[in-house]
Formats: sequence, structure tokens, C-alpha cells
Amino acid sequence: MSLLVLKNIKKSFFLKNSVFEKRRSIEAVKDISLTLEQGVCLGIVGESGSGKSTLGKIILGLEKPDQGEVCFLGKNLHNLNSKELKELRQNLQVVFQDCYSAVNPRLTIGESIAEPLRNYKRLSSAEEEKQVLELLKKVGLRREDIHKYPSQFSGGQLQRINIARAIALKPKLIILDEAVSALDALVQIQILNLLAQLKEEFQLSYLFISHDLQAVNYIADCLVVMHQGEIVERLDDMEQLEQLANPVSKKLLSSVLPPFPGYMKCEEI
Amino acid sequence: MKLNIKMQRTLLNHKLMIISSIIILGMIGVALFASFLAPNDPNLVDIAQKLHGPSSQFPLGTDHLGRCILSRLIFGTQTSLGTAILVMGFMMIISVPLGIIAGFIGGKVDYLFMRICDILMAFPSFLLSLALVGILGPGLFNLILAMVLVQWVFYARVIRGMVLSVREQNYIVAAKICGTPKFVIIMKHILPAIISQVVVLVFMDIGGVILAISSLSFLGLGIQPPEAEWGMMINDSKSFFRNYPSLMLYPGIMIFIVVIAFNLFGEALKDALDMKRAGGGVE
Repeated sequence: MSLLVLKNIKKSFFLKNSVFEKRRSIEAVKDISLTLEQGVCLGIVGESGSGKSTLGKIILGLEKPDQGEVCFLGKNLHNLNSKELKELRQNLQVVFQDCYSAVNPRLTIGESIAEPLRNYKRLSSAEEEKQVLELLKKVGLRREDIHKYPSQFSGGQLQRINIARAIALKPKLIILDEAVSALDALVQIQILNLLAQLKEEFQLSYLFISHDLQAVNYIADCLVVMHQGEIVERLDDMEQLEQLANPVSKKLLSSVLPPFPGYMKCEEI
Repeated sequence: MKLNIKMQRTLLNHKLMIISSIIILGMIGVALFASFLAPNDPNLVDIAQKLHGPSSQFPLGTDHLGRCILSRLIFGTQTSLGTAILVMGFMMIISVPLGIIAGFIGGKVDYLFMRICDILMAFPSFLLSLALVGILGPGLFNLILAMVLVQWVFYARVIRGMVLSVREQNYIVAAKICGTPKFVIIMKHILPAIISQVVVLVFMDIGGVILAISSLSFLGLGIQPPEAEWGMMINDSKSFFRNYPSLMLYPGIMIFIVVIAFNLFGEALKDALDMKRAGGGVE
């Protein structure tokens, strides 16, 4: 059984909600079908506005699709009562792009990381602290950090905190919505390495949403390219990245900066 | 240079905050210990002593019924402040939960809430309070009821707006996704995020509430005689204004000082919180 199956997902948004004007709508996601297996990282790339984040929201159950169904662990996500949904949500977590607004500035990071644990497990406070410390260690933060506030951390550290919160319940799937896009190149690599390591350790699946083909190439096992709400190309083997044929994919490929620009120039000459 | 101005502003703010909070605390103290501080019984009528000037027995003189003005001013603090705090308290009890519910749940609940607001806000609020007291009949309870029923919408709407801006933060979405129940999200994430702004709102507006209560009492629709209240004292003294202007002056000054103190305190509080936010420092 596949972990996640999307069948013919469609979603439009209404632009104007006026009495006098005819409702206009844009189709953010048009007829998307996808399958994701356990332990696989699927990259979704596309320009901004290609509907990839909307797709992420639909999978998270934050938006309801107009048509089609999202089957997660064999259950239709948008057809559950709130208790079943809560049960299923344990296995479905998210890391956002904007790491600064993803943690409550008024809570210590210990409290932020403990939030999912409190919702699903009845732990004593000593047990809870033990688990939070363990999570901090897993994402490479220090023990003392547990009592600090988000304003005392850098972006990369905050993203580690968000990852710690996402893996707290040992989920099966984590949606990484541009999770490394706001970080600088060096920190990006560190976070990607951390993600890859956690994936091995917990048998996680990732849905890696990004516009950055280089980052996707670093971590993903397979890839889909989205353009204006549609999947224009699929790639099952990342080795064949250079063989992407669709014009949109080619554009994304050519937008990847060469690691040594000067060197490239010499070679071209 | 810019920093200098900012520092000056901070200091000025500091001073304003200290002065206004001293006045407010003083007024609250006077209200609490009115029966100890007042030299005479504020409601004791003695026609033989009417319209006297200041003396050792009546430090600010007596009014047209021979009642001690200072004692009435002191007891008036109790009624004016107490009523204003009650009105503000009831308004917050109604508008904070409703504003949060409308803002957080959104959709049809929010739509319905906004339409109710539109209807209530289409009328001038003071006039509506006036009409309501007129219908219900004058009296302290009806005054509070009328003011709360009319004005809660303004606060509920502002609070709804605050909630809307917080609701879109990622940490709320993340809390939803990691299974936090709605009630816990409201209590743990939303309420702490807006509470400081709500406090500022309360302090900025309580002066207005005191003014409105005094105005309604002046019109004879609020607190009823013989209870002492500043607005009513002004009303009582209006026939003697030409010969004894001080009768009207004292309660007027009291209203002025209290309203100004609350406004300045609210303003300073707002600046202080803004500064904190702009600094982005450690909380």
C-alpha cells in the first residue's frame, strides 16, 4: 500500500466575492495525481505560482480540494471525522519556509517542541523534558537551548527547532514547504544533511516542495515538475536530471547557478 | 540625531507614564478609602449652610443644599471610576470572546458577526446609549447596560482584527497540524499574542467611558441623586454658575484630570509596547 495517493486533485480559488460582479476564479491545481511510497523523498519543483504550495496545503488537510481525493495510509483525508483526522495527523507533519513565524515568540522552544507530544501523549513533565532533550540532540542543538526563546536563535537553528517539532511524534510523512529556501547556502546544506540523516533513521518520507532544483537534487529520490497547476514532467531517477525534456523543466535547470562560475566560463571559451 | 530624538521620546514617555500612573493610582486610592478621606457625610443636607465658601469644616465650601463639596468630589471618584471600570469590564467580557471566536473561526460565524456590527455601528453610539437609557429609565444599572450593549461591538471588531493578523502566523498553522485543539490554540497562542494590545485599548478608552458616564449623568440619565457623581454635580450647579462658578469648576477639573491621566497612560503604554516590538529584543 502506498503511503500517499493523490487522485485527480483540483482546486480553484475565487478572486472576487462581490454581489454585482461575476465570480472569477483561478485554477491553482488542475487534475493532479501522485503516488508516494514509504521512505521516499519526492521533490516537487516549479516556479512561484505553479500551485505547489497549494498542493502541500491540500495534503495537510488545510485546504479542501474541489475534486479528487487524498488517500493517506489508505484513508481519504478529507472524509474523516475530527477524531480520525487527529489520529491520522500524527503521521503527517510540516516544516515551513518562514522559520521565524513558525514558532511562537512567547514560548520557550522547549514548550514549542513539546506541543505535539502534549496533544497525543500523556507524559509526566520529567518524561516530556527527556523526550524534548532527545529531540534537541537529534537535530543538533544543545541541552541548554530548551529554556531559550526563539529570538535568541538564528534562522538555521530555528529551522532545526521546527524539524524537531515535526519529528516529535515520529510521523511517516513530512511536508517540507520550501523548508530550506530562506536559508543561506551553507546552512541549507547542513539542514539538508540533517533531513537526509533523519530520513534514514526514522524511515521518513518527504514531500520536498521547492523552486530550487539544486536542493531537490541533493535530497530527493524522484521528482515532479509543476507548471500552472499541472504536472508537466516526472522523473523517477535523479541520475537522469540532465535529461529533463519539458521547456519548463529546462528553464528551471538552466536557472541553477554553476558552482564555479569563472571556471565554467573558461571551459565554454 | 535620530537616536537622540528617540531617547528623548523614551524619557518623556517614561515621565508621562510615571505621572499618569501616580494620578490613576491616587484616584483609585481615593475611591477605595473615600469614607476615611471625606471630612463630612457627602449626602448630609443642611440648608442653613448652603453655598458657603471654603472653611475649616468644608475645605471647598458647600453646594446649594449645604453638602460638603470635597466629600462629594471624593465619593464621586468612587462612583465615576467604579462605574467606568464596571462598564469596561463587562464590555471586555463580551467582546474578547466574541472577537476571538469571529476572528478565529471565520467563515459564516464571522460573516454573521460582521453584519451585527454593521447594524449597531450604523447608529451614532452615544445617541444610541442615550435612547436606550431613555427607554430603560435612568439609573446606574441601566446606564451600564445601555453603554455595554451599544459599545461592545467596537471592541469586538478591533479584537477580531487583532486575531485575524495573528491567525495567519505559521505557528498557529503548525499548532493545528500537530493536533492542538482549537480551545488550546486560542488560550495558548492567540490570547497571549493580543492581550497587551487589548490592555492598551482599555486604558486608551476608559477616559472616554468616564466622560460618557458623566455626560449621561449630567443629562440626568445616569447616576441618580443623592449619590455623588461628577457629571451630576455639574448638572446640579448649573443654575448657580454665575454667582458660584467654583461649584461647576471642581468636578470639571476632576473629570479633566482623570480622563487626561488615563489617555496619557494608554498612549505611553502603547508607545512602550511598540518600542519593544520594534526593538525585537528578548521578551
